[in-house]
Formats: sequence, structure tokens, C-alpha cells
Amino acid sequence: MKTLIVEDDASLRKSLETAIRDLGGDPRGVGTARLASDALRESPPHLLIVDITLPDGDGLEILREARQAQPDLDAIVVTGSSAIDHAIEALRAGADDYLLKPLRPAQLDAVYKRVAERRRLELELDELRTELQETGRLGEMVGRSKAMQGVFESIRKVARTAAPVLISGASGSGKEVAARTIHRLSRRAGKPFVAFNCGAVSPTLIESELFGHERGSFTGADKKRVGYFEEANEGTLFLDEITEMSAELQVRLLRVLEEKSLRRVGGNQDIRVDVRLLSATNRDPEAALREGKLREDLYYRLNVFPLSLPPLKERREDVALLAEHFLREIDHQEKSGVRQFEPAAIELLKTRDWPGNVRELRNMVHRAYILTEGDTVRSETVRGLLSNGESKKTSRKTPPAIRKSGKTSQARR
Amino acid sequence: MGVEEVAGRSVEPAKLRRFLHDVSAPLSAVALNLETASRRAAKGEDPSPVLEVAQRELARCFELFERGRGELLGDREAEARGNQR
Repeated sequence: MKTLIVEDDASLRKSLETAIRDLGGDPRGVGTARLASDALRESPPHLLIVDITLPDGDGLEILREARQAQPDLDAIVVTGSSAIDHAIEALRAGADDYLLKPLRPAQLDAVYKRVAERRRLELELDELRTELQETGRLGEMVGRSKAMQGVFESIRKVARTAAPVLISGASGSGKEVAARTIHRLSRRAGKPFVAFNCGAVSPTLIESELFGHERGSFTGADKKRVGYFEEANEGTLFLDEITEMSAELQVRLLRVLEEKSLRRVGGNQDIRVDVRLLSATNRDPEAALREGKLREDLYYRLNVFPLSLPPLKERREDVALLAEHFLREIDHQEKSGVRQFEPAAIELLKTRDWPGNVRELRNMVHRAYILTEGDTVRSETVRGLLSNGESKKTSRKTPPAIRKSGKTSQARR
Repeated sequence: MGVEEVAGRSVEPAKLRRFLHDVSAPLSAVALNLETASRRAAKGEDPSPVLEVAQRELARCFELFERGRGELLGDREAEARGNQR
């Protein structure tokens, strides 16, 4: 692991270099903040070990600079044992861990191995991401079109970070699937993924659903309830149809995001939450901003990384891959043994505009599956479904798999 | 500015922090090099070069300790003498 050591004491710097080399690392040491900046630019490391106190600057500044240029960098700060406040400040500035001086070899060993192991897993995940992308899949997402390859590349990059993502796209274009994929490819993958649809719950209930409530806080609150924010602690919370949230609630959401703590409805205790927020809208986010559907301050908080999903008609070349993928998925559930499409059936599917997008295509494949006898979906079946316009009439009304009380789904792993 | 006690004498916290900071670098180097020496010996490699570094760092640590202690306590003695005059 390429490691940059920034330590002003030359002898300690050399000793750290020797220790890191012995642990299997590839160290480079510098003694000043200026040299550290140069080294970060010339040869970006995987790991930065930086002393907080430097003769010509502040180690935390180096850390911030490095983090900005390289969000997936691992960083360890070194500080005197009498300066524990510095260590806390360093963790807030984005350090992954800290070491107290005088250094203890066992502590360095444990911290370095933890970072190295995380990095190894990260590389494995990266390889998996690339492999899936090459086969036209990324998590639950499917597509070989240029547009989707761009989306996959963005997801691959943003999944590694903790940045909030605002996903936009037409209804049925796979916003929740994209959010789930980001979660599954992130460091939070082992923690809960909680999805909540703000548009499917009455505005008066959203607050208690999101933040929870204490017993007796309002009529009907006969027991304490933990909100989705708390359920998603250490994991990811996906808020769909974010523009349907009232302005008042948007202010409250913003406060929770800024303070990383919340208060249940009727409660008087602040509860710390560590949640990565992914949000989505089927509106143009900037238009929602202009129309006052989304507060400007919240918009900038949510839209650190925008992700736009193309409608299916703009990636017709993915229709065959998607249809085959859905057929396999449906056969796995239904087990009727329908395994393939006749080539002409696929060609017919490619001619449609799919106003209900991927969701509509999936429903159409499911209907064709039900109507098929034997192992092959025939073009007559597809033609029949397309010509009677059934898909167009029903697809938009068909809800996604689970949609109860606004909570679209919830996965805990 | 507040004061703290070292060897029954009061010293400025900033000077004390500086002293601890100075001494902690060679102390860290000693610990790291002893660990490296032990690892190398366990692997059948020659630990003597890193043990020499550890020895030098230990000597530097003593030197810094004595100098720092002298500065910390010596200042107060000088100050006390000044006050007496």
C-alpha cells in the first residue's frame, strides 16, 4: 500500500518508514507541509500518515487538501497523547483513525492492518464492479448502452464515498434500484438500507415516520416508535419523491443532516445518527428548485452528486438484455420453465417507446411469461400484448413490488 | 496562564507540552525500532542495524529529557532568583 508519511522528526520518520515497510507497505516520508503537498500531487498515496504538528503548517490542513483531491484516500493522524482534542478534530476532518505519541508498535500494527484489509476489500469490490459492468450488470442494474455505462461508472465512483446523491429520472426508470446498488457497493453494504417514499404518506405522518415519536406525543401515538432515520443508522436511507415533502419538514431534514442528530416527535433527547442519504425525484431537480418545491439549502445538501437515469426509449439497445434478465428473474420465482424469447419477439419489444420505462417492460415480460406455454416466448404473444395496448393502460398504475405506508422496501443485511 | 507541577515546582503548560512533544518522538522511534528488531529476529534476519538506531534514539531521548527538564525547572529557579533580587 503506497503510504505517505508526514512527520517533521527525521528519525521518527525513518523509523515509521521501516515499520511500514516491514508491514508490507510502500512508504515515502516527508518532513514539511509544503513537501507533503508536492508529494500528494506528484504521486497520490493510498494511505496518508500525518503528524498534526508540523514546522510550517497544520497536519489537518494537509489532510483536508488530500481528502479533497482524493476522496477514497485512507488517512491516519498522529498526535501527542496530551492533545486528544486534536484527535477528535482530526476524525471530524476526515481521518479514518489516529495514533497517539509516543507511538506503540501494536497500535500502529492494528491500525495499519485495519486500513490494509479495508483497502483489500475495496479492491475486491472494485474488481467485482468492473466485472459486472463488463457483463452489462451493476448490482441489480442492467444495461450495455453508452448511457447506462456512464451511469454505472458514476455509481461505481460515488459508491466508494459517503457523498449524498440526488437521483433523478422518469417514473419506472429504476431510481430505487440505483440507490440500492449504490448501497450494496458501498462500505455500508453490511448495514441497513431503508427506503421511504415521501409521496405515498400523508404530510402529517411523514415527520413521525422519518424521525420516530415518543409515546403519547400525539393522538394515536400509543407507543414509542423508532423512525426510518434511526432504523437506517450506520447504513443508507433512500428518500424517494423528496420534492413531495413540505417546506417545514425540509427544514427539519436539513437540520438533521447538518447536526447528524435528531429528536423524535414529542421527545426531548437528541439522538446521534450516522446515515448516508440518497434521495430521488421524478421532476427536474432544478425546476423543482425554481418552483419552490425544493428548498435551495436542502437542494445543495442533497445534490452533492447528481445522478440522472435515462428513460428506456433513449437506450433501446438495452431492451433485449433487460427482457432476458427479467425473464430469468421471473422464471426463478415462478418456475414454469419459460427460458427464452424468440428473436422476433425481442425485435417487437425494441419497437415500443416504453413510457413506463423499465418497470413497464418488466410487467410486460411477466405477462408474456404467464401467457407462454413451453419454454419460449413467441412473437405472437408479444405482438398481442403490444397491439391491445394493455401494457400502456396498466403499466403506470402497477405499483412497484412492495409499497405499503410509503415504505417501499427495506433490506437489512 | 495556568501552571502545572513538575517535581513539586510550577511550570507553564505550554513549555510542558513542548517538552513532552520533543521527548515523544525519540521514544516512539525506540519502540518502533525495538518492534522491528524483534520481527526481524523472528524471521531469522539480522536485527542489529535497527537495534543500533533504537540505541541512538534512546540516547537522544535521554539528552532531550535532561535538556527539557533543565529548561523547565531552570527557568523557574532563575525566575525565583530574580524575584529574590
